[in-house]
Amino acid sequence: MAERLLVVAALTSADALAGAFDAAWRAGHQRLEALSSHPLPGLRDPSRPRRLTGELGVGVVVAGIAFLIQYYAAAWAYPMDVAGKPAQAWAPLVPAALVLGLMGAGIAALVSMVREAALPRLHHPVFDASRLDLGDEQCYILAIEVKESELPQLRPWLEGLGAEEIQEVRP
Amino acid sequence: MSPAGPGERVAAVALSAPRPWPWGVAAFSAVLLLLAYVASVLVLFRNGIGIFGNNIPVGWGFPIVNIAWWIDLGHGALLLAAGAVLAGDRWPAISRVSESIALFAGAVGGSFAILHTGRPQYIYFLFTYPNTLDQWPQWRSPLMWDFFAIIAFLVVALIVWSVGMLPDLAVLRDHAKGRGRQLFYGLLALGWRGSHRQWAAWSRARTVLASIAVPLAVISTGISALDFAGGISAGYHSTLTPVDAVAAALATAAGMALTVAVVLRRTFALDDLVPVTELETLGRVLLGSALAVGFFALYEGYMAWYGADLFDRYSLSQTLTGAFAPWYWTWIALMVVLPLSLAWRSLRTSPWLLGTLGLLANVGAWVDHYLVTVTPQERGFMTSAWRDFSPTAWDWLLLCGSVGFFVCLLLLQARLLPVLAVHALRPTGQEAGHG
Repeated sequence: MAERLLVVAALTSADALAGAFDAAWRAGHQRLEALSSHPLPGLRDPSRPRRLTGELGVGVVVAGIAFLIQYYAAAWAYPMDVAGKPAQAWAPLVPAALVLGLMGAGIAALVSMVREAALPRLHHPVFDASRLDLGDEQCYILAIEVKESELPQLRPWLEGLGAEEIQEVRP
Repeated sequence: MSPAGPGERVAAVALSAPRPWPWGVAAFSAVLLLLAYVASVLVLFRNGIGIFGNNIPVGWGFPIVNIAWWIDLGHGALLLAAGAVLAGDRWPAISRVSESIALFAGAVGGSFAILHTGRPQYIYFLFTYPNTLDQWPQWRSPLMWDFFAIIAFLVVALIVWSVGMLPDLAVLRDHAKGRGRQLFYGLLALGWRGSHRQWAAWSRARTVLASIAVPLAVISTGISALDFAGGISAGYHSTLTPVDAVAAALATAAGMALTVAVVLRRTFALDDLVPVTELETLGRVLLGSALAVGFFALYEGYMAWYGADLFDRYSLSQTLTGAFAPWYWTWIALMVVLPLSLAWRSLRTSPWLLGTLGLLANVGAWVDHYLVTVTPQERGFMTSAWRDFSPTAWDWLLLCGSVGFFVCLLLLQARLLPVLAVHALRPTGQEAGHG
């Protein structure tokens, strides 16, 4: 089986990185990442954006469970007569259910982010690119995973896109 | 050697910046107050709430005032933080400072929620759990809603704060010298490397969380206001109270964010990273919310008069010209009249004036909570039950101690974590998105 390499190329600007990322994607490279110290609005992410169904679903389920627990307690397990108000009244059960539903959706958003961002991953091969300073805010990096045999063609291609420093690391 | 970028400078504050002398004074004072807080809590747990000035009929004294003040500050700060994200996430100070205030004020306020009972060992009675007494909480009470609102608020504030902090922790990791610090920040950053997928997931989570935080902050503030509005006492029973509370919470949070941001930028020489335009934005929020607070104050006064209820009118007269007038006018001066000066741009662009007005607005907010909480109980429906409230030394010590607790948390964050949201800053040459 052919050895795979992670080719890490430093570009000079955010625009250059966005352009190189786009070109690499169109050239058929699908295992690639653009790394930067801040979000890049100009970068077109070809991966399909996720919908909000996960967070919404968790929020609705949590709110529903909270509502049912309250209803069970207020109407069935311990019906308390407070100034003749009906034990089955649903309106007073909404506020707690609503805030707990929002909390559930918030937790789901956190879990979803951690999962999508593939965190925690304390070590990644890109950290082994010793000649690149990931802490530099002007450092814009394109990382492409390729077969070792593709390297001779990839290097000049990346240099043509404006890459200044190119390094290979084992994934 | 190239000049340090914004991220490197923010990282240096936590990693290597020398501590100026005001820092030492602030840290010493805050720790002293924190010790006072701990001592008060120990005495409270030993002796019970008899150490406070609470009496009959004033069952809700300083501890309730303090809960409402701190939690409303937290709610307002969460609203501010969420608004900053939804407006483009481009204000490094507003984002970090308001997210931190939301979490820390929530933590301090949450501690009062336990302390005010005087019997912390029974706090679990508020939870829903199967028990041998076959009893459940009273779901129709706003106090019960408030319990869940505070829990939800604290959880979401923690998530918003930690998600916002994540990429900035990676900045600290990348600039840290020494294996120990690199490991510490590396673990906290969870291995963040700033890939486009991570940024996309992170940006999406920020937006979703902000969209959740806005209704949560508004509903939670409304619920805590319903604790009062649901009561029948003259001065409590007002339909407008929950809406008024949201405006007041936002004014309080904008004021506190201004104070903290002004002190931070001056202490750590970050003036250029936190431009005056950013402070001016907070000043506008303070001005707008102060106007709303003023409107509600006028409207509630008018309704008390127009409603022609004997007790409401008496309560109004006591507030405007009677025994409670000093509290009332102090509140109006600090939270409504003084912030109106921000209508003038020359005043709105003076950092120290903004910081001072912000601090005074917070004092005004505490006075407002005192006025709303305590005074209606002092003058109830039966004149035979009228009695004044007089706070004890423990009341004051716990209040001042809680301020020390809050400041300690802020100082600890400034010492260990990024003081500004680095992700909202752009490296030199890319300032287009910033401002």
